Amino acid sequence: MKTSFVNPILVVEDSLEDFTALGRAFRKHALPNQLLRCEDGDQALEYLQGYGQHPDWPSHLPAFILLDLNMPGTDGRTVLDVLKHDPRLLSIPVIVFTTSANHRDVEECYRLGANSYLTKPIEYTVLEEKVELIIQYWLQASQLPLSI
Amino acid sequence: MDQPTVSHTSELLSDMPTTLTNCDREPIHIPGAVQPYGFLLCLDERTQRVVQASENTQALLGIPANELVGAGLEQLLPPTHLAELHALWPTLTEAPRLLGVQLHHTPNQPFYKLIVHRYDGLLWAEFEPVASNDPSVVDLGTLNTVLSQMLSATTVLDFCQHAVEQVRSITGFDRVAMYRFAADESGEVVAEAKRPDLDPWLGLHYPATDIPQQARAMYLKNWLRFIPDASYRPAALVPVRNPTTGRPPDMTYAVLRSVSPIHLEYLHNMGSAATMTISVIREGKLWGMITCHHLTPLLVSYELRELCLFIGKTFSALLPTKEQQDLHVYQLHIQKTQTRLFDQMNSSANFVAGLYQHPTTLLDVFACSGAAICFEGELLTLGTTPTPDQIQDVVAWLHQHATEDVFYTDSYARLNPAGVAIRATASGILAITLAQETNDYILWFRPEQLQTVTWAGRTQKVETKADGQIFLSPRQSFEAWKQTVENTAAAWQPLEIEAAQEIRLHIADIRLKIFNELQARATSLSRLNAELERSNDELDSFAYVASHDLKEPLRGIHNYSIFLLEDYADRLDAEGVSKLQTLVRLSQRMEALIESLLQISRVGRLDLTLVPTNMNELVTGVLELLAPRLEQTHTTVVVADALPTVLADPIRLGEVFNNLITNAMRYSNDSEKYITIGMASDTLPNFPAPEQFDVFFVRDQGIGIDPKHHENIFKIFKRLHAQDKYGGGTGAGLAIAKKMIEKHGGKLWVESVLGKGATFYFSLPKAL
Repeated sequence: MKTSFVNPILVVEDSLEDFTALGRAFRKHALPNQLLRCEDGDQALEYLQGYGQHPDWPSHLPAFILLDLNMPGTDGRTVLDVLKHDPRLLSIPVIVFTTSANHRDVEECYRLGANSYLTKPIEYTVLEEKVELIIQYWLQASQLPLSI
Repeated sequence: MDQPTVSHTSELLSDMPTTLTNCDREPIHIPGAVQPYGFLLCLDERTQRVVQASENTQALLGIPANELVGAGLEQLLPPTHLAELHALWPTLTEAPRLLGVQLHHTPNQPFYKLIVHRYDGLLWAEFEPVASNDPSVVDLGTLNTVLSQMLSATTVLDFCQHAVEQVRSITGFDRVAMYRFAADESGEVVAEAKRPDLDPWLGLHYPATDIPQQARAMYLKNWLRFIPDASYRPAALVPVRNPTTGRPPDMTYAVLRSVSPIHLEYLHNMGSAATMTISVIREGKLWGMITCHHLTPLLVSYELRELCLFIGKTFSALLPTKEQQDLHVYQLHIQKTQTRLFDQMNSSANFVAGLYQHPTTLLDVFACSGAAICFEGELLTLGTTPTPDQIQDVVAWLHQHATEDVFYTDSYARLNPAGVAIRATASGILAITLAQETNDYILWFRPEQLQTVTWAGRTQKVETKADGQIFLSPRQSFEAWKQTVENTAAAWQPLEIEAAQEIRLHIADIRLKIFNELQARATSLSRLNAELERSNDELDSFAYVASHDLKEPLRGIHNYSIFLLEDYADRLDAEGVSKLQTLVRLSQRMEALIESLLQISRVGRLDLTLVPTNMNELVTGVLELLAPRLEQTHTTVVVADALPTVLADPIRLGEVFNNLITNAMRYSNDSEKYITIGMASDTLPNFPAPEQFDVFFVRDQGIGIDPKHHENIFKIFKRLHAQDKYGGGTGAGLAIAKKMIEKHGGKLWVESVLGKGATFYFSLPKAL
């Protein structure tokens, strides 16, 4: 069942190539949701905590967030921590999407309140599979909070 | 100077027979009599008239003593001598002055030596007959020889030997001996010059009581005593008592003084018919005596006696220097030995070994007969010592009773009655504590003094008189002395105690140094550990960041190659497509390598979670995981033995099995593959201690591994085959598996011949 929900999907990702590959995989599904990119943690927090105040940025919060962990400057863990402590933002599902399969990272992210943890595959076909799963699960199978 | 003062004892005593028991109180300075070989006149200081005269004037001059009393010297001496004397009297002191005189008024006009001094309110005129063998002059050449000999002596004992030989050659006495007094005033003969046919006295000891206190006091004042004929009958003074004082005059400085009958008996028992003794005085104390004995009466002229007195005084004057020399030599020896010991200790891995394992040992530092090192429960002995058990007893006693760092005694038995048992080897003990609160000691032992006495007469029998009374004799003296020194060793000298203390300090320093080094090592270890931990963390984050940062562009290369293939396939020829596919494949391989690198960098620092692990279940689980691939590759796995339960980290161990089984499955050219898992029997070569380890194996019938590669295959990224053969792993699997097993405290190894399959073994410590 298709949701009419059209909040953007936020990708916090410093690597343009990774974002390009992700965007390509998402485009296959012709979603109504805009795929937004923040290049680093600071930018992501600026948008999320000040949404609606910036004319160039969407006035809506994202439906969910794909969050890379290792970024220059404010890294993903900090972003996650801040989001999950912000009463206005903590209900947005955060899907950690990172290279690291280190169990310590996995543990920490769930402890900080991540809703899911996926590793970036090297093979594009696998990436496509994962993106399809994400869309099916978060946008079709799941009920997202309405408050967003 | 604490000279014993001579008290003028009860007058009654002079009228009582003196015995061995009261001779200490015998007033020997006022005997009221002289030896009769010469005669004595005591004159009034003012009138210079005779107050008292010895009764033998009758015999020697033909004038009864009472006739001389009240008169001057005119009836004996010619005017020239009288004038000399007249000039002499006013300046006279107790120091004797000598005149040669001829008694003109006496028949035969004999020559006499006249020795005069002033003492006890009297002028003393003592007349000695002139000996027939007198040298006309005292020869300066002799004096020079005497002096240079004395000066050249290098040790105290040599010095004593020279002195007695000189005195004997000057006087002709049958025996001249040097007596030296110990701290307890007992005496020892330390040098001797004698007629060859006489028994030696060298090494003879005698008790302090052999020379009564008042005699010692007198010997400090009057340096030379002479008895030309010990069988003399004393010639009494007439009158015996000085009318002014009402007592006999004080004969301390008189040459003719009559001696104690006890002393005469002593001489007689020694077989001595004539004797002369010269005091050796060191810093106001009686150090010893040069004693001369002759078997027959011997009149030594006054001049020669003066020469001997000169030798005695010179000896006394030089003595401190010689003792200093001895001490210095000993000190140098101690220092040298100590230094050597210290070097040995510093250069030995175990410093205690430096005390006994080299030519120079604890025994050599100073005079002792034995030593023991009691250290950290070990007991080592050197030289002559009590038995180990007896030493342990001493140590236990010290632990209780000796609280100082350095303990010494010259009579352990006096402090601890049980010490009598070890008196032969350890009457004297010098001990240093190496550590408070423990029984770590170094001990030096000295035997009972009696064991070391070398007097030839020590084994003779004690003589007694017919009526059972003790017979005074050297043997008797020795017996008496023996009783005073039972259970006693030679005393420890201050410099020896000091040396022991220095050794103690040095050992303490070494131990402190060792402790400090250990501390420093511990500190640097913990620093290194901290650094290691930091560098581990850095490595961790490096590996992590590197893998992350490397993978990102890799993904880019991979993805963009895919996009090219997808988006531009129509514009690419076959070669272009194949090149892009190669790029995709290479990026995948690169990612696998990075992943392996990350894994292996973590393995070494993994914290294992060890739990009792049932290996049957574990292997079953691994086989279930691998089932699809096993099926695909037609591989049959047989678990041959029941596997034990071990203490292991099941996840890591699962990875090891997974790796070994996967390898066994891959490296085979057969269409049907067989793998056996089981327990190795302990007959296997290389099998570690079977009581401590379980050894597992994974065996295949595959391509095998040439023994020359058996080590290489465990190296990271080491591959024996091309990437496109046998499933192309990264070459990290075995390296990781080996590390995992080593983390568990085991070993992983391979037995294989090329073409004959391979068996991988790994050992794990048994779960106890």
